[in-house]
Amino acid sequence: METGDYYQKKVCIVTGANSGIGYALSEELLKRGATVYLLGRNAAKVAEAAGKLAAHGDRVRTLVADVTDGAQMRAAVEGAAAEAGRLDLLFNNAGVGLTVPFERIGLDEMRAVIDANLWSVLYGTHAAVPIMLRQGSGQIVSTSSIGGLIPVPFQSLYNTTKFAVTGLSESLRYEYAARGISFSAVCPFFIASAIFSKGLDGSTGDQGIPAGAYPADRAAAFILDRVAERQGIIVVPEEPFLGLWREYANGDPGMEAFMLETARMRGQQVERGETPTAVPPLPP
Amino acid sequence: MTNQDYYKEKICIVTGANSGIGYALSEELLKRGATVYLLGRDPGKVAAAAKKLSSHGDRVRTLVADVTDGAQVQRAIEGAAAEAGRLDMLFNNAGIGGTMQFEKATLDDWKKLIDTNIWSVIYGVHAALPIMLRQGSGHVVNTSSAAGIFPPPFQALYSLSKFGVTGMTECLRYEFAEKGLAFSTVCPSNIATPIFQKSPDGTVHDQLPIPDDAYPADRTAVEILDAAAERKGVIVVPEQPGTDIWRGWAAGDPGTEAFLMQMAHDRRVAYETKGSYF
Repeated sequence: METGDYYQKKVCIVTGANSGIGYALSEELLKRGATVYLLGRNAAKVAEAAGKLAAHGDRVRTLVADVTDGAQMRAAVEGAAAEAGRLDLLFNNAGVGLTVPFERIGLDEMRAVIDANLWSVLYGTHAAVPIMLRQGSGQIVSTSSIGGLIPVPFQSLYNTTKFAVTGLSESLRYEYAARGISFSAVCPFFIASAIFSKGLDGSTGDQGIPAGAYPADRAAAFILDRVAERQGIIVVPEEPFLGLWREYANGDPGMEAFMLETARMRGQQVERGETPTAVPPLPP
Repeated sequence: MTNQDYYKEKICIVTGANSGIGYALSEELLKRGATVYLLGRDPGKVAAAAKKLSSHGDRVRTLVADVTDGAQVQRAIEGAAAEAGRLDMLFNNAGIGGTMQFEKATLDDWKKLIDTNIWSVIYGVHAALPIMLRQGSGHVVNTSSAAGIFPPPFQALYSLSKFGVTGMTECLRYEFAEKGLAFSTVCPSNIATPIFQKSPDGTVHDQLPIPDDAYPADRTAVEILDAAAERKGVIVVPEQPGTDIWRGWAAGDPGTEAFLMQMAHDRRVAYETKGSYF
């Protein structure tokens, strides 16, 4: 399907736009002719990201807001829509990772993950829906994860938030289908992004990007093609992970064995003091 | 074939035990020989529920705690385990419904749903897990919903919270499989309980009917406990059509897509004409 013109002159907001998938989505949107508000918490990092994209002129804009603060998100989303005269697409992309055994996660850390991955999406959606209802059109694209479809062991809190984002986005896709608003949940597997090296407090650690991670620019191009088709769930890369999700839902014994083997290998990593990110050979 | 002895002499805590599925689970557990701590926020209601079950003698116990308060949940669970000498099963069952038009929900509604349906489960697991890990055994049964495995329209907040419970519980099932712990996710559809009459703020609307086709709570409890005794992960009650809708949705089946779109249409019309979704 030809989607080259879909983003031409569209007004977009991308949260978590400084780096990773958010930056790649912003760059690809700009290449496709959109106006993009890069949203981030850190003013200097947002300005730096905008500087790298300066070739796109005044179609590059910035918003400084903390996605875990409802009032800041409302002000940012409403302010951008007022300035641009409309809001066509909101990308609720900001989020954090956490791969740790459940019994080692403190309640404060759990709250930080739920705030960053769940409340961020809620605040953005809550602010954007009334604007899009008034327009009679709009699209909200929320970044979930493979861990929002398949329950990956040793990512319990991350899975909680990402499953929740999937459920929210899909329920709203049906609810608003007749009123012109589309919803997509993006479910990436390992994408080469900073999520692997960031602590919950934003500090940068030494955990490397896993070998075989999918390039962020390719992921962004794929995601935007599917969003232009108004696809609900967008799995990146699609194979083999879309199939794995279906096998999980079907209670496939090979998939069950794969999940238990994932847990076993990761349990051994925990005992060795490593981060539990092992993935066994995929089921046939 | 059912393992009827699975629950004999097991020490269980059931949250949200005053009514609905929680009460039915408690009663069925007692019938199967377990010791059950009925946990609820309102001492009067917990006592009333315990009284109705008093034929089971001192196997009926009570705990008063607000499931949205982590410290209270921790105290209740640790206290029960200390008193009984162990904790075999925790049923994180308390929860609230939230079928509404998304644009009419306030951020306070969202917070209430997330606190009651997600944080209650987190607090429960967080408190029970160290106890069960020390024992080397234990079984946590979390009440999710059919809306926690497929996404019904006009239940975005509820679905979000229940998808969260499913994802967490299934993750933990794998994560702790080698440690001797079991985790089950209960996904009920329309069950005849007061959930249909309660709004997120706890207000009861007696005038709202429980749908005619709702599944009986006592049968629900029997099916849940039969499946949990087999240490089944995701337990869909009744098994159909929930299971097929889940699989159809995941498979991108056009019939399921049309079914959910039709549900959205029907519910929108119902809201516009009757003010409720059914």
